[in-house]
Amino acid sequence: MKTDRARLRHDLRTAMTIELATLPTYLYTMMTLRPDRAPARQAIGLIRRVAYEEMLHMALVGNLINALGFQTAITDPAYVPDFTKPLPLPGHSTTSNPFTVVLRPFGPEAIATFLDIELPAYDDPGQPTTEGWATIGQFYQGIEAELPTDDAAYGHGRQMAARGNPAAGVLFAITSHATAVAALSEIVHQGEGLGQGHENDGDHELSHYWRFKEVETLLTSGQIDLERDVLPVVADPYAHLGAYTEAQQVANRAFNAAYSELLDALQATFTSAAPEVYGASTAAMEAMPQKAAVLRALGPIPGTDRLAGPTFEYLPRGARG
Amino acid sequence: MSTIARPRLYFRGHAWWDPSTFNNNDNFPTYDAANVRLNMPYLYTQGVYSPDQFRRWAITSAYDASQDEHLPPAEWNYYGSMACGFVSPTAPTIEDPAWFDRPAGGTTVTGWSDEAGTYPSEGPWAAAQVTLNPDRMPTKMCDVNPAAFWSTQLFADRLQVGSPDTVGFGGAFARRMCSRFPNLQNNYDATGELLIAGSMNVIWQGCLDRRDLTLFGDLAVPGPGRALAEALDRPGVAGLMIRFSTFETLYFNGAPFRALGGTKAQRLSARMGLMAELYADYAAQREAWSRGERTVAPARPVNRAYSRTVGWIAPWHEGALCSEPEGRLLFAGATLLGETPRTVTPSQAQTHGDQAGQPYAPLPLGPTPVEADIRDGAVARVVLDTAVTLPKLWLGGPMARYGRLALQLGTQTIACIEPEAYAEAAWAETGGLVDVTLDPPVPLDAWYGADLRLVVHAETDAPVEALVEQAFTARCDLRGVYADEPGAGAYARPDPTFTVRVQHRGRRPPPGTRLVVAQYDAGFTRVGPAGQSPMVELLADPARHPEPVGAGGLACTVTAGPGDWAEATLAVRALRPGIPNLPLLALPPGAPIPTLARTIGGTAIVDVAYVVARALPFHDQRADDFAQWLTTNPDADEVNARVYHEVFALWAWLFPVMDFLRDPLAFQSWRGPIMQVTDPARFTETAYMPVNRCLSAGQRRILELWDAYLNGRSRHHGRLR
Repeated sequence: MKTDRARLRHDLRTAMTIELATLPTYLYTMMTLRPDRAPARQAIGLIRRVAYEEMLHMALVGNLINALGFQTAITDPAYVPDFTKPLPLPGHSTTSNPFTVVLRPFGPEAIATFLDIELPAYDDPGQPTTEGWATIGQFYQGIEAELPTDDAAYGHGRQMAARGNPAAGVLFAITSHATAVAALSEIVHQGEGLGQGHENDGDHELSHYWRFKEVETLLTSGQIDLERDVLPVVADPYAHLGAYTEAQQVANRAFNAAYSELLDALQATFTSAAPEVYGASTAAMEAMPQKAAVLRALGPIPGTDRLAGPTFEYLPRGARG
Repeated sequence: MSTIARPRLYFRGHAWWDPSTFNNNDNFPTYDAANVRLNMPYLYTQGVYSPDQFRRWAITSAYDASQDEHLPPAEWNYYGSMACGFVSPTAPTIEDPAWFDRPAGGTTVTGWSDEAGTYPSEGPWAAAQVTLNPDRMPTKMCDVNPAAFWSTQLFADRLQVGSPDTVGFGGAFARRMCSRFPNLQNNYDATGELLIAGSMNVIWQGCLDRRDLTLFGDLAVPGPGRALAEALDRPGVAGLMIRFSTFETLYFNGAPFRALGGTKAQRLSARMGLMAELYADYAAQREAWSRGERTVAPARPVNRAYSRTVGWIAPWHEGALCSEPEGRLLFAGATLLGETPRTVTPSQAQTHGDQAGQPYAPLPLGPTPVEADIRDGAVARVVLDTAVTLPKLWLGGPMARYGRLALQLGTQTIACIEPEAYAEAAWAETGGLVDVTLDPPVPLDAWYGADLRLVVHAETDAPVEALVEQAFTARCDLRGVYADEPGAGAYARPDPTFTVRVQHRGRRPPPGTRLVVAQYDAGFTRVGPAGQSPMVELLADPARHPEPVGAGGLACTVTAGPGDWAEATLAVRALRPGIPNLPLLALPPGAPIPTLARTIGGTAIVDVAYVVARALPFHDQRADDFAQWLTTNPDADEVNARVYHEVFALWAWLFPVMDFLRDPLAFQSWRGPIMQVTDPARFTETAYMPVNRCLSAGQRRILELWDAYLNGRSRHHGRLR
């Protein structure tokens, strides 16, 4: 089968968008947990670990994009996840396991979204449809089918080395069809597990889906109390942005500037001559919780009892203040 | 012969030091240096059980009855980064100018001596900045023993003078520098302004290999650049040597600290108290920042120390030691043999303010290397390195005066040095080097036929012998010798070695000369039946006829080296974790093993040649246990938690600047760089971590297993080992 390179490039960039979209989704929710009590700290740890593995997935997709001679488009407006409105993940079916992503504080709705995102194919009650993927695993299966089988098609771009791996798992250098398939398998296995009855990812770790099931249990068992353990941060912050005070707007822009630095750093990492470690990206990601705390410290949004949350918007360089 | 060599560039300014002081153990026994761990049994008595309790306790002022001193256990610079360098108009960056400052100006070239010995001080080279590690991570300082002022090492990768845009040069260091001749009594401090180790003067020496040197500017223009280029092209020139001394160290540099008056003890307590307040305020502000109540992170209260610095740079000759001054060596006495060092009294006429009438007590002078310029079978010129020789009288004050100094060969005076030649201005101008022309030149047989002496003629006293030659010298380029658990099987590793160079009156000693390497504990008390057991075993080739000298020491013969010296290489095998001091003593042929001093006091160390060994903790078994445990398939969280306790916890507790190690996912995400900077192959680089170079081989093995495990090699690449 002849590879449609334009489509493959688009799908791989979309894969990067999907992986990237999970970061704001998970981090927004995680940052609304008070780290005072053990169950909340446990949930924070579970979510953060998934977030780090999403960084690994981005690295794997980035390596694949580079290996095939494409270029990542992380900061291209066409591929930046847009949280200004409920976000359907790109390419997702509207009929099979349909959901949209909204930035939400910790709670049952947020966890339900997490589980939707990481839903294993074997748990999907629906069937693959021609109008879109129903699970991320299906999406990657589609990409796998598009991959050129000729090893000569790989090895065009520089690869982030294993030492750049921020997570547990294998950061494959992609030099062949086999390593490309292995990289996609790593993403799918970390997300949904090895298969029905195999909740771990093959590296002794629970898959993302099952980690979020653990988080869900912390909530449903009452170990996490929404009143006590969760900060009253607004859901869908962009919808409330117009009500933010001037100070809240400023703090939100500062947050978005940091988020934008993260995206720039990611793009720079993969387009550099020698992708190394995620240094700047990791530092930018670790800086974001403090900036969200600044926003919360400014008090409730006028007219509500909710605290302000960051809108996760990508700002062009000139608009960051 | 580098002090003899020309051209010679001179520079002056300040060095800055940013050590983290928690593990100094000056007042409270908070750190178990031998085992590289916190002294938890002591900390438990202080109610410290958790990291949070520790952080509060470390910065809270406490009373040390033994020294009648109030201070926080973390001492004067808890937030230090172990960085150091030369002060420039832009470095170091001051985090909080409201509390701290730095000396004005830079550390710059002040002049140079050309082949004729003249001293121009104008032109584009004047005021060229001298920089350690330009445009990269600052140089790191590391004490082999954090409680020992005599064991400091500087890990610098590069030196630059001037800039590529103008004139100057840049090059890579061939070896790390270490403190030489640490002289605690190098300032009378008559005005009482020098706190802590402010009176100490110490020499540092490093060398730049000519193969890594780049000269900047137009080398066709007459001047230092061209002269250096010509010198580097001469046969036998290996590169450039830098030697500098650091003295008059000031702590608590900032107007609020300087405003605190009282006696010396009161000022020290008050300044420590103010630091405790700043620590507490910083901790509170940091908490507020974490909660989002501040948008900008608070500035760390970094309390750098600054030392005045004078130094020089000259051609480095092949065969010359990189890190230790060579030449014939004058010293005040063989303190290793229990001798009381000679002392001399300076002129009493120099007074300062209300110090008038208080006599200056007799003090020993510091060691003085002497090198000879040998031409046509005679010595026509000698150079004395007086960097640490003569004490100053007070902070910023003059050099103590001893009248005319006579350099004698046996009982014959061969040169005189007038007071103006070693007075403060001249001394600073040449970095302590004193060039002395011998007129008439001294024939070589005479030069090598007797010991040198330095006799002082203080104005009111009769001539007094101040320094005598240590005819047989023993020197070693290495100061810190790091010995890991010897290991076995898969963990077997070679014993580290060090080579000692022995000379007699500056040249190869006669056959039959022996070397003694003794073993003293971390506090410089001899190990043995009445003290601790040896921490390392010293090993020499059987052909050297090694002979135990008791208490873990060894004597052996030395053999001719490739230059004008003899040498012996010894291996160090760790017996148990610890930081033994290994004094070196060269014995004339046929001389019996002398009785060595039981203890060498702090001020006497300046007259002792020594190596400091570092027997690192034995962690191989822990690595084995860890490997076995990994076969049970623990998840990443469990693995990170165990690695934290096995490796990272100490650094996270000890150094606030390493705070990110408290967070398992943070250190997990940085494990690639962590594996790189803890690679033993990079041990001598500035970037190596941990900065105190105390990661055991077993711990490194644990990190390797951790990295492999998290990278999924257990699944994808079969067995872990």
